[in-house]
Amino acid sequence: MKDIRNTIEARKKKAARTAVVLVSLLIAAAFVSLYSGAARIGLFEPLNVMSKQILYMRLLRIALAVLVGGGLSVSGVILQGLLRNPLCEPYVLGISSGASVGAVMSIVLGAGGVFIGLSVLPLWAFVGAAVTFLAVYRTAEVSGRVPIQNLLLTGVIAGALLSSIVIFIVSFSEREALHSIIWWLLGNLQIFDGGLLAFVAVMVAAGTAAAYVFSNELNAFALGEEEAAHIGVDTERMKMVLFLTASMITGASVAAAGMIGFVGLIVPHFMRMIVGPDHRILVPSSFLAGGIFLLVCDTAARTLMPPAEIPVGVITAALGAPFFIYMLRKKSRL
Amino acid sequence: MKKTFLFVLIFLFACARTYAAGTMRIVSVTPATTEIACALGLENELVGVSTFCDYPPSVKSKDKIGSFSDPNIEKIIMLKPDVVLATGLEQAQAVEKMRKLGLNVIPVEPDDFEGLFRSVMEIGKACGKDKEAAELVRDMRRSLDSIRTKVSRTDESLRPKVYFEIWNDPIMTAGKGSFIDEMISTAGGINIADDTGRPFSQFSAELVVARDPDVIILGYMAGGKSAAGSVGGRIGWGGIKAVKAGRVYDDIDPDTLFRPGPRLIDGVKALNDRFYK
Repeated sequence: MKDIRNTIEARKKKAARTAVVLVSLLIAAAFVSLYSGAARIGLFEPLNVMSKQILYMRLLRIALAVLVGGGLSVSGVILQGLLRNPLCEPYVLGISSGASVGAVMSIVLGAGGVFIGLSVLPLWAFVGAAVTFLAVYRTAEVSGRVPIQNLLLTGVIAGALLSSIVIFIVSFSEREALHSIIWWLLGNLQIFDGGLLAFVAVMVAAGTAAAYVFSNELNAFALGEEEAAHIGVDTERMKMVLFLTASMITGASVAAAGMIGFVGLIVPHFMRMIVGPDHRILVPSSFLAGGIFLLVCDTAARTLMPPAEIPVGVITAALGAPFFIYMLRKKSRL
Repeated sequence: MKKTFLFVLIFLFACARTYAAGTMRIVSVTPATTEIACALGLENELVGVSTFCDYPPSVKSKDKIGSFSDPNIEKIIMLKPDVVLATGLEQAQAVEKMRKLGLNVIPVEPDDFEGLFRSVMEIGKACGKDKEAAELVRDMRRSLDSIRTKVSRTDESLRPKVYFEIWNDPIMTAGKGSFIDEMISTAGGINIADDTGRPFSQFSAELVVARDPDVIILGYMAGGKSAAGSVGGRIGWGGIKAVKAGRVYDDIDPDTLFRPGPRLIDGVKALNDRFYK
């Protein structure tokens, strides 16, 4: 009995330590990011109107990077946990492809002269994501239940179908619009619209809170759906709630920042290796780690080749892919 | 011997056919080459254009050979063209295929005015309009020179700093090696992004604020909202000189800025006009 208590104490201590380390890292990364950029602003330099504006822009961009990185990681944790599949990531259910179709539609219609405003595209993208989620979920449903394998397959197929629609639209659009769609898809965290940032903040905060509140249920799902039902989890309802949570986070992230890959795939794996599979710790620590990872990637994206910027998706993939392969090899050797 | 004879026969036959018909058959796969061909007086000789070709408006009724990015090679062959005008970059694969099938393809990919003049001459030569091509090039040079003379009267320190936005999400601009950069400097502006080292790239939003351009040109239609409003409403951009002075323009026809054809001169004129308003 004492041993168990000691183990629990030790785990709590470890979780607290991890939290302290992650929060400090996040603050440090944010500070470094705030004072790096194409425009030079010295740390001890008195601020004028212009440098204040620039620091403010950086601050909002840092906020978006942390929200999107953290959000995608939490979304990845939820989906990997529910689907019990290590290859799952926020884009696996076709949500992001749905968002892309929405975004592409807005660009094409805008180019056709109907309407184009700065915050119209994210709105379209989010609607695309939401409609896709509902369609996938309804399609996967069989007599009131949603078998997880059905959902996964439906999602993957819907994603493929929607991607082909994007390619179709791109191949029939004009040259300039075509280029911008591709750039949009690569992801960018520059934010010009305070309302959009607030929207992402609300969606990600609510989603992360929901994932944390239901972390015991996520732990139960890790045993298997049937086992979760045996220990009293209302599995159908929980699945609906958690998939909806993951999808809304993903939809809002993609709408604001485009499709930034790898964050939602590798951060949950990495954190599972460090803090273990308990979702009560995994959810918040993945949020922090994802925020740090994307913030570091984005800082690199905007400072490595000034005055040009590298699409942040390129950096996350360049850092993420080798790391993921390394982890897979390490895991398969065990 | 037999082979040579056959070749000669085919050659004679081909010549005979061309001259018997009296006119050339030209297919143009890009909007820019279509405009060049028409400027050389070859509009009647155009037997096929891409779905993107829309200038001069009359070419819209021509036979379509597919889109710019995906030309239909079977359709092109059926039109029996003497010359196919294409671009070298995006259509490299299609050009290669058409050449293998024995078509006379002229790929052009100018990245500056000198290159454009060479392309015009090349197209003129291939289509038997050398004289017209030389005339067109002379006219274009003359127009550019008159703008340059006008600009040279303004002291360099008084020339406006210009930010040219190709796209807003993410923000993209044109740097050295692009037509846009050359057009901006010809029109008397200073491109704030000429140090990006590549023709097109995502650009640092904070650097637009730091470099504080006098004029902002949008290479796309800002649509519903006013251009100045859509740019000035961006967080952090309200204090930019161009925004405060209401000098954000989205009213230049993008085709006169991005299509490497004779109408680029109109683009330079329009830029010059916005720079010195």
